[in-house]
Amino acid sequence: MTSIRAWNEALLSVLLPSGPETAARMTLLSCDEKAVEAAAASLEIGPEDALAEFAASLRKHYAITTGRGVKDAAKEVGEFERASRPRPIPPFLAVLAATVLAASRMNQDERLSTLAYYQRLLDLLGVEARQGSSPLLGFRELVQGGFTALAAWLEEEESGRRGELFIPESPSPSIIGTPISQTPLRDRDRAVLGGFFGACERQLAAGFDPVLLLRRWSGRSRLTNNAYDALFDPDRCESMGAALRNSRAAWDGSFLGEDGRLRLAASLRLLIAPGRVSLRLVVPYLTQPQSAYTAEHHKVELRPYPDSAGLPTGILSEQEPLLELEGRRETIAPFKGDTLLFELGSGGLEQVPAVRSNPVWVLTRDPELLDAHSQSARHYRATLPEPWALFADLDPDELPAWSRVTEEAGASVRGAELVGGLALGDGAWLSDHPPRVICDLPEPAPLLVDGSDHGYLDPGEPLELEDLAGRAGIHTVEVAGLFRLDFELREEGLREGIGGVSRYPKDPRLGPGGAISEARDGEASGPRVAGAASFGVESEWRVPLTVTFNATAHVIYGDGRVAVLSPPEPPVWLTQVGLPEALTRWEIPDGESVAWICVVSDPHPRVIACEPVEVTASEEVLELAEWFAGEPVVGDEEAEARWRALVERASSLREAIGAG
Amino acid sequence: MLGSSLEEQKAHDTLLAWCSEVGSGETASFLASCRELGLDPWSASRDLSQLGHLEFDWHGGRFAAAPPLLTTVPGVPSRLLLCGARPHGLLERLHDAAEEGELDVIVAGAGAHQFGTGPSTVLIEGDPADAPALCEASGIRWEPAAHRRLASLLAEVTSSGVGESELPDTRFPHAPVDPLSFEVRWDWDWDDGREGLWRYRTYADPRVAYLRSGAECLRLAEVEYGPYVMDRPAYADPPISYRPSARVLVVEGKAPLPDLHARVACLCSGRVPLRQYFAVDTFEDHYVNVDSETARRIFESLGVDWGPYG
Repeated sequence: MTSIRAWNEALLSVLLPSGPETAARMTLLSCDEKAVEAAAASLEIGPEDALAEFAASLRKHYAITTGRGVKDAAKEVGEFERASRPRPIPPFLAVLAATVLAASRMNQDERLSTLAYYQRLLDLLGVEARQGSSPLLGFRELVQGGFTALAAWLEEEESGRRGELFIPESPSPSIIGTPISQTPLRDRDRAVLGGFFGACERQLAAGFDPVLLLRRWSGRSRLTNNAYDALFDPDRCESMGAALRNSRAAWDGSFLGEDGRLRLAASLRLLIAPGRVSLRLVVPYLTQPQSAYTAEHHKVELRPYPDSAGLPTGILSEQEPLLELEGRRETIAPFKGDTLLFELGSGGLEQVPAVRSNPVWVLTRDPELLDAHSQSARHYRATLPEPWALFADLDPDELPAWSRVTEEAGASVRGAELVGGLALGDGAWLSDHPPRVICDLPEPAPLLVDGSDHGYLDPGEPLELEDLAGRAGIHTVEVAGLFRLDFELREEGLREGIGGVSRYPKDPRLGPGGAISEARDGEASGPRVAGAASFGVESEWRVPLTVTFNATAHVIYGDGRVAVLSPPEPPVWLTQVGLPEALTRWEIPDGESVAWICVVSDPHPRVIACEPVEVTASEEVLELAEWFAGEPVVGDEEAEARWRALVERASSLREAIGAG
Repeated sequence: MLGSSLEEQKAHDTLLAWCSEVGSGETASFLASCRELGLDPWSASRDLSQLGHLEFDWHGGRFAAAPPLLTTVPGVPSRLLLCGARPHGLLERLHDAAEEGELDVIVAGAGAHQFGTGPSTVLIEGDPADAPALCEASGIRWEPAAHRRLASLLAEVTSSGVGESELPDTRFPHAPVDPLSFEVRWDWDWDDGREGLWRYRTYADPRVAYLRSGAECLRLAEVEYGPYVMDRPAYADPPISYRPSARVLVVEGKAPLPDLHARVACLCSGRVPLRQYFAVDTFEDHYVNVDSETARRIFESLGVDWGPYG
């Protein structure tokens, strides 16, 4: 028989390990059957004998009987509290762990309700309920003093290295609430959590906080009250997270069925012989032989893992077959659906949930698959219940989409992301076009925008943040308390690389091929063009001579030419785009050789001086000079004098011609 | 999808603003932004390119806004056309520069709409003589008559100049191009080796043009060159024509101008061509305000006879 001291040491290292991960963090004496098995393993006791050995050691050490209860253990607590410091490992640790183990075994079954804690504890210790106020003598003192003493020891002697024990201030129910609080997850919770672990497999594998995920999982209401409360209790979050991680690590793939009964995980194997197919069932959960019955009352002798047991092929005739385990509430669903996939493994053809890339064997009653492959050479002819058929080596792309592992399914969870909008880079978006937020969490997630409630974010559905449009500045989006995304809305971007893509129209190699970025232009030659800008091109542009008046003009050029010009009508294209008045200025052609512009305007006839050049005195020039002789002259200081000189020349010439 | 031309106009303006703010980037992000704004990325990219706002290196997967500049347009001396990047605050900067420099320039807030087919045209009212000072003060480029400068760079488009010897992979879908209508005739059962212009859909490029002539087969640098280098019957109408009195360059819808030629034509007005439909799939592009000198350069570069207009 193993001593209680040995159990204490083993359980301490399993339940309250010392290390940086546990130091100064809230912890629990979270003892369950797995923990006892782990402790037993260190004592070289097999898992099948662990619980019995543990209970026997307790009974012997404390002389536990129906009459004595755990009185001796309670006495040990008092002595430990009074002992001089430093104290060794609390000698009552194992019996305290047993009180928690009883809580962890609470489940919903035919005989016990989740609150029937005492019966679990009595069953564990192998005693009957005592008549009177307390079913187990000494239990109240053990629990009330023991957990407090353990917490003090962890704090004083261990300096918090093994964590700080959580004890509820007002346990409910008053006594048993304390051991129950140490095990946020009980058997029933673990059964429920099978569905959670399956639904959130990718997120959990990606390292998401299981507490936050579980808070949003739709099946959370099926947890026991204790687990549910712990889930939302800020003080117990940390311990709950640890318990969930431990539970997931130990999860065997089983889950709670719709009938409230646990479905043990199982998988099929195929044994192929000419003209014959045999079904075998593997149940990883089983550690010893177990009888089970099909709906047709055929007996199946299940074998401990990793051995397999033969199944009658007639089970394929059932729509959703279920094996009832003899003497137990658990059931096994050998298969589900119309198509089963098998890959070659160490145990022959082993069932796989989905196919990634290699061809698979397919046992199916799916009409589409039957139609597609029944006549093919890959149809393995064997006796199977109608309409089942077996096909060899079907490629993934020949199978329904659900059966293939997509890239998305294989990818890790991205969490919440900002998508769309007009991104400026560097975590900024154009002010009027903010991003949308999207997440691939499995359930609707609460959303906070700049600290304000923004409703729920549905999985995979981008949510517009139109309220933020135009609100330049830093903004924060928080999704489910898991992800915090900061971004900025700005009017201006980085404006980097403007002009960084160019054309080289005269380069014989690059010229015809369009624009090319700086990184690729290599030995480009000749002028460069970027948009409307050209570099390395000779420019012959001269400032045009323009006027703004709306009147006919007689233009005198230096070489004696004269032109009569009127303001042009605005082009139709300008009118069409809403710029009918765009032509506020019009051009005098050949402006650089214009000497004078005579404006024919009734209210304001005038002469505008342009280039100060000697004008060739042609007949037309002389006529204009005489016509505008008395009109005001607009121009530089000497313009008036120049114009008078031209007028005088005109008069002189006119007189000379008249005299001649 | 956008509902009205007003929304489309706003989307085009926003796209240009975004491109200007990022400065440059990957073409993939440009396509994503087009989708975000509900714009067809291919037509948006062509519009932005031919208006001189953006350059695209499709093979390199990059785009970049062009340097912002002011230029002149022919026949409208009272207006200065704003091209290239149009970042936030640029118009305010021009306005302030005009005010502080006491320049004869009026910078209005809004541009002229493009009927929802491209970014607004910004035509600033002012004396071109003051434009250099305005540009210097506001830190942008002054490039008068940009259309004419670019026109002077247009090379002669010949099959040897724009084509590279290469045999197509005939496993890709391909079809000849009708030399009269320029339509891709997927319904024609021509032998692969037959002379003429061919269009291919390859993995790398869904619209590649090959020109077969005798034993030679040329892959064209841009598919738009095809109608201008292919052999056509003597009686066929040229793909482009010019209306001197209206200053309109008319381009057959199935024979769009090569990119730089289109830019030269667009910079005469700052306008995308007006599309004139004759049937669902039959149209012409009308480039407005193209002066005869610029039109002549485009004709000569493309090897189209200018004689009727000279």
